[in-house]
Amino acid sequence: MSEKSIGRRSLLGGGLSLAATGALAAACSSTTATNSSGGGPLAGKKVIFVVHEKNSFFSPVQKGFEAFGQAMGWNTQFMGPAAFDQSAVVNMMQNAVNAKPDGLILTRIDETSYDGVIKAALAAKIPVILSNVASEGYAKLGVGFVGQKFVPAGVTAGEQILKYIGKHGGRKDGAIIIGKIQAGNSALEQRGAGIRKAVEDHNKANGTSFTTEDLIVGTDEAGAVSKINDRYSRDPASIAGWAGTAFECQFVSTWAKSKNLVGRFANGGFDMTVPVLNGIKDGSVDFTIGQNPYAQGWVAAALLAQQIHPGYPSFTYDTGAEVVDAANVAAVADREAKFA
Amino acid sequence: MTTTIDIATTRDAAPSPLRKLFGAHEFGVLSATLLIFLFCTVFVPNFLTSDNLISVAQQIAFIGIIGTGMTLLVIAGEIDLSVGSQYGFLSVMTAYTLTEMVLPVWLATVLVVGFGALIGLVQGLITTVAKVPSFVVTLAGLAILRGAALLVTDGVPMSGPPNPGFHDLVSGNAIGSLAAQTIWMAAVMLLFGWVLSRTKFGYDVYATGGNMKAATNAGIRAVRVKVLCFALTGALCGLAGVILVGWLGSANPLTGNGFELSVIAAVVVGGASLAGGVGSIVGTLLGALVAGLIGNALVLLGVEGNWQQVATGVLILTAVLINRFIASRQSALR
Repeated sequence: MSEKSIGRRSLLGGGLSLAATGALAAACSSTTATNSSGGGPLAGKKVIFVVHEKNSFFSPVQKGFEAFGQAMGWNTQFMGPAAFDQSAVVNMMQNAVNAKPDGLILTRIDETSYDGVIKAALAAKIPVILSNVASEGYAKLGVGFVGQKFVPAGVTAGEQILKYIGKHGGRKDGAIIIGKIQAGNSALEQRGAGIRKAVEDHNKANGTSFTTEDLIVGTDEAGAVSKINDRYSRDPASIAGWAGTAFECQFVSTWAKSKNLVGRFANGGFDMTVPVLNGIKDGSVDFTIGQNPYAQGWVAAALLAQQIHPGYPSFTYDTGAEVVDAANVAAVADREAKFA
Repeated sequence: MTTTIDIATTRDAAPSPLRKLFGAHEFGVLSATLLIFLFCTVFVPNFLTSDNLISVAQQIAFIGIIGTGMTLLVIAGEIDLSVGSQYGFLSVMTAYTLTEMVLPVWLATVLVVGFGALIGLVQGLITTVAKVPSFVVTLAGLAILRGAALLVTDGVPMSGPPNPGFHDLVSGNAIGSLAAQTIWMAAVMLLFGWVLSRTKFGYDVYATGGNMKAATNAGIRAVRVKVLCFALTGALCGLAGVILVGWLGSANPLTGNGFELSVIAAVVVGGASLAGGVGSIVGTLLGALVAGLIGNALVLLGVEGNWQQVATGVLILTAVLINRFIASRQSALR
């Protein structure tokens, strides 16, 4: 066999393989682009939404974004790394800028790392709006934000957990475990700060002596349940309640049900994922605080739309802190099921 | 031994440039890279622009720098699963030394790079002296260093000081629009490419990974070679951490989460054998480029996020298969 034939065959084989995978990529692209059903000056616009980590929370955010995009006739693209990594997120955002979209929606989960890419987008005349988490100092970039005010929402969560500790035996002391699915996320840190503030205020006002401690559990259920069990095993009597900063309460629910410990302490947190709402229905979760993730997609896209045309500047939109408990969970679950 | 030399002498008597190219170990991954580039040029909108290509070169800088260390290790017959955590921990240490200890940039850099080398040294010594497989030692290192990063920062991103000079040095525009990170990567890869191919240490690395017992019998201090490779990998993780903080202005304790997989993928796609003794810096550069081009093209093509994961895996596997296919045909030719 000659050298020439090796090169030719190899290149041919490689070319065919790449053509096949390219076709796969093209197919993926065409199936995810939103159908252009809308009309007017915004029809056919390409808008990209990049989040810091694709997890179940972002499912309704994506639905809201795509629903608005469909109404406008946009080509939408929603993406994020499977696991958070600072430089991977920045690279993905930079690639989104390089795609020259008509608008970008981003999450900014710390105060400096994403500013370079946001400024690059703005310099390229690409309108940007932040969603879900903006971090301190976002206003100086001249971009809007759609999301929750995290410290006040944390205070609401803290007040709720104290209320339910009262219902589960009326303890006056004990540890409130502040669960986190992720370290290094400013939104979760701010909610945690809000929970701690509520507990401190409660102690001062009522003469109680509750303490708080952080527990990073991750997003993998098996790992999270193990960490929760380990903390419980260390000192079972010390725990008065579990207050998550995201959807950690669903892991506490799984663990408590497996150990027949439901009702022994208060359990609540944030977000309206299906397991969290099911936990409220079966009594293993006391409450959750919603932040209207659908609006974080839909309203963010709407603000971006009016920024693209006719050109109104975006602004900050608080998606609130909706308390969901046994009293309203059925209605909320029906509503959220529409995004499943 | 004589036979081998005779064969080599006969084969290399007068190799034509074409034969040299086809015979190069990196020919497979080079072909895959060129095919991907060609595909992107034809089918991917906004791909062939200077801004985008410069951006891709910038994005592969960290894989390239840390991948250089990993290449040395893999050739030497070892692996380091803790590079992502080392990179994260050392970026946190960079921010800490600059912000909390208020050290000048040069001193912080020396300390962090040195600390990285020390981490590598410890892992290397445990691997070689205690004879614990590097897979296990560095898996433990992965957990320990990630935990250390979380402890130092209390789980919160740590800001570096606003320092335009530092920023320009590590991530400013070095030549035209070319980012300084790319230049750092090129410098590191050129240096270690030269070390591997032109120095006795490079020869020792290949010999150690190819057959450690034979290398030892031949007088090569194989244990020292392996420990040095671990230390160099740690030092390069430190360098990457310094560059990251200068670039982004902060260090997140989760930096480098899962990054070891991207690095190992680049090294393996680049033709290195996990059995040791085979690999090159050029191959790793091409492997990193394959990963960078694929990640970039999928976004530019508008591929939905979940499909990007699938497509990335499929394309990397395809690139490896092309590489293997060509390598097998090269072997048949010999």
